[in-house]
Amino acid sequence: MTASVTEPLTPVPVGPVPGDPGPVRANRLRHALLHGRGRVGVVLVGLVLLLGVLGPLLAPYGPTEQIQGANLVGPGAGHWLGTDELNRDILSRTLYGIRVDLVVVFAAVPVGAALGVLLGLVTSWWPVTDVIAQRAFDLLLAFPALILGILITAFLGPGVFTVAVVIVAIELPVFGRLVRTSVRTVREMPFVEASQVVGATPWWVLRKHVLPNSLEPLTVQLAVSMSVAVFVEGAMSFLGLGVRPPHPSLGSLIKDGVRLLHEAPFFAAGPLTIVVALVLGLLLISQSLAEARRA
Amino acid sequence: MPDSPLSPPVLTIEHLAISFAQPRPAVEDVSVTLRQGEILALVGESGSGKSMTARAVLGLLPPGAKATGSIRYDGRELLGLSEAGLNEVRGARIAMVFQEPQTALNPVRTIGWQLREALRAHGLRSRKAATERAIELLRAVEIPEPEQRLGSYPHQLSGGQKQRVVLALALANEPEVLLADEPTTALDVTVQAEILRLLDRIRERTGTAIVLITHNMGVVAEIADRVVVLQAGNVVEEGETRALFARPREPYTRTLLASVLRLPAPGSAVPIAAPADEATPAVEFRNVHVRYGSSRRGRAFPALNDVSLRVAPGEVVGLVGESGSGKTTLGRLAAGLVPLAGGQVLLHGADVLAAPRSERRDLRRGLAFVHQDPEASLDPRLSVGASIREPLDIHRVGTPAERDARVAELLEAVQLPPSYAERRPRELSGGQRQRIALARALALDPTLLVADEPTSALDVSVQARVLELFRELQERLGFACLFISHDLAVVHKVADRVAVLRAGQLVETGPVATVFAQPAEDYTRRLLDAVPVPDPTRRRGRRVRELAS
Repeated sequence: MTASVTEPLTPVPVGPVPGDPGPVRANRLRHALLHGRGRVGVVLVGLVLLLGVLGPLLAPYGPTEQIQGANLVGPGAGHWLGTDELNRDILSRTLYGIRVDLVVVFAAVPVGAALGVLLGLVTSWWPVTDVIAQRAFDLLLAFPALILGILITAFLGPGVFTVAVVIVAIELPVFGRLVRTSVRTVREMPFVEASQVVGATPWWVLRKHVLPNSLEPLTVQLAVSMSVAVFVEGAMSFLGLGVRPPHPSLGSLIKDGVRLLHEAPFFAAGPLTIVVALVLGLLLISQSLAEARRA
Repeated sequence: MPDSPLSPPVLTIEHLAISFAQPRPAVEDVSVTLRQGEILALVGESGSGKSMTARAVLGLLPPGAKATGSIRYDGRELLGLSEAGLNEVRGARIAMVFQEPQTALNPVRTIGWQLREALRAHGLRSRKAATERAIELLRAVEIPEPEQRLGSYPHQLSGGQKQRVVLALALANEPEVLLADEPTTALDVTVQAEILRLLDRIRERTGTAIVLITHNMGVVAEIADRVVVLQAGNVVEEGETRALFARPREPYTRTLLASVLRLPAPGSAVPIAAPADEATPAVEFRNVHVRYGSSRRGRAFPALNDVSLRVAPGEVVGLVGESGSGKTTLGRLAAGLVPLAGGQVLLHGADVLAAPRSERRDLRRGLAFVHQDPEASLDPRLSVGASIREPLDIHRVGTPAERDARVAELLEAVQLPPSYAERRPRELSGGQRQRIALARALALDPTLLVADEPTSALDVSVQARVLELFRELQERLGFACLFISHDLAVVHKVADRVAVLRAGQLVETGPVATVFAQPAEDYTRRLLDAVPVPDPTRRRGRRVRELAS
């Protein structure tokens, strides 16, 4: 400190003072992810992620490989999760199926989120574009997720790509809405006025002030949306709108399992456990993040 | 009213300490005795623990707070009392009034309903009796036509009237002790003066002892019998008001009193004004009109009405007036933040709004804006250095290295070490944040600075230093300034000329010394008269004058 700096009469408190915002936010979010509920979520999601990434190495058989003499065998030493009616190893199919969900969760959701944020950010600055974009979002939001899925499949035909498109279409308005709220609050802030007075363009304000200040609530929504995506993939494949046979996905595996519930009750157990772990993990993460934000 | 030393104590606070799960206790060791019928002022800067002390009396501490020591009222220990026990005391024996009258009243209920509810909560069953008592209370707080007012909603009342209703609610059950936490801070000076006189009269009529929590030494001098000075959770000094103002013992009290800005005594000599500058004004308002609300629906509210004002280069013009006078609107108009409904705004002789878009940006380059609220005037996500750099980045001034050098230079100009560039706004105190906001405003060497109440959220001692810095920078850099403030003493300190606004119209303008010493308009005189003088010996004279008028 230079000599010219005069200290205020009442010393500036060193530690946090009552009524002060808590310690730096980023640390708090990290803390939330590494403790309690958040940690359970991270471990669950991490495990599923690991299984999916290492799937081809771990799987004892190929995903569509038919094994002679192993028709609807129950779980045992040779086939940990048993085999299906077409003599395929369910463990191998599940491991490969996870990969479809990973694409959906970690590619389609971020793409939808990024597009939604971008659209919401740009359109909500000007009243005219704002009205147009928000009504379009209303339209998308008016469709229940599965109806939207069926509609899009009618145009694109079933497949992983269609599932991804459906998820982007579901997430786009959600994130567009969320960003709009942030734009509305941040643009009224004095620091935005201060930069506008010196000649900052709307673009500058959106990029430098609005976007950074609105990212935090988005992290929570991202985790929620990912769990929704797992659910949507499962539901679409269950209805036969998703991954086409013979390729496996968690949803289609569960569908087959339900069909053979009486002959082979063990069938759906593996894929179901994975789906539950993934959705539960993502929800726990989003819950702990939301809590850390509020605290 | 000098109180007799014999009047018995009603409230005794001994060795009160309040701490949170944090290293610094909010209150460390506070002992205060309140005697019957006296007005005791608790003064101190923010963080001194004055509000926490008052809240502890009624058990209104925020969750997580731990209080030790003793608070005795009427022989009963209040600290550690159960909620049920506290409810017997709250409102009935000890009442509290908060700073913001807006939030203290329920906006969807009439004044009468709220008063009756308060009376009913303490056992007045009959509706007719409650209504009669409510009228009586409104009369006690000097609200005109109380019978009609019972049917009014809070939004139909002015700020001062709302605070009167809040007082009436507090007085509903004739409490022995009234805790008033900055009851006049949110009000205009003229209203503040009225409320203070009202408090004084209530005390005289009912014998209620009042604890007045305030940061304003003028208010203290005006009405308090005794003063307790708090600093960082400890009692620094305690004494009878006149004695304390005349001979403060502790250095902290002395500095606190020295930082209070004072207006010159009325009728003092007027220095000869400097000849008017004939150069092109830095900003000129020509018959400007501003309206808020939709004119299509015929609901437009005129915020500014036919205002003409010139600010010469290098001149500081203070804009003063009560809330709703349009002073902030005029400042925001210069900065291009509000739409113009009529007239012209010229920046250096050029009409900004008539200029094409591309030129507008360059015209505005010489303009900067400092906002009132130090909490919100800096982007919490950006480092201090990045905030100061922003104007340079927007206009792509020099190379990045040159910009960083300029940031260091600006930090030095506002007397902060260059290492502060790395910090986040939340790591700074309010005064430091306003220095940073000033540094950012000066980044592009503006020729006109619009400062909207830049120091009103700061403590007096901090405010004094920020104002000194401002004055020094203004003299060195020679920018013109529109300085908006409701605090006449602040304007007196920094401005060359002053413009008085009232209800959207310009009432009076002239050199500060002339206007303050010999106001030409009655409104200006009333505004000046209402400013509480931090000198208890001048109190009596004012009362006499008031009686005479």
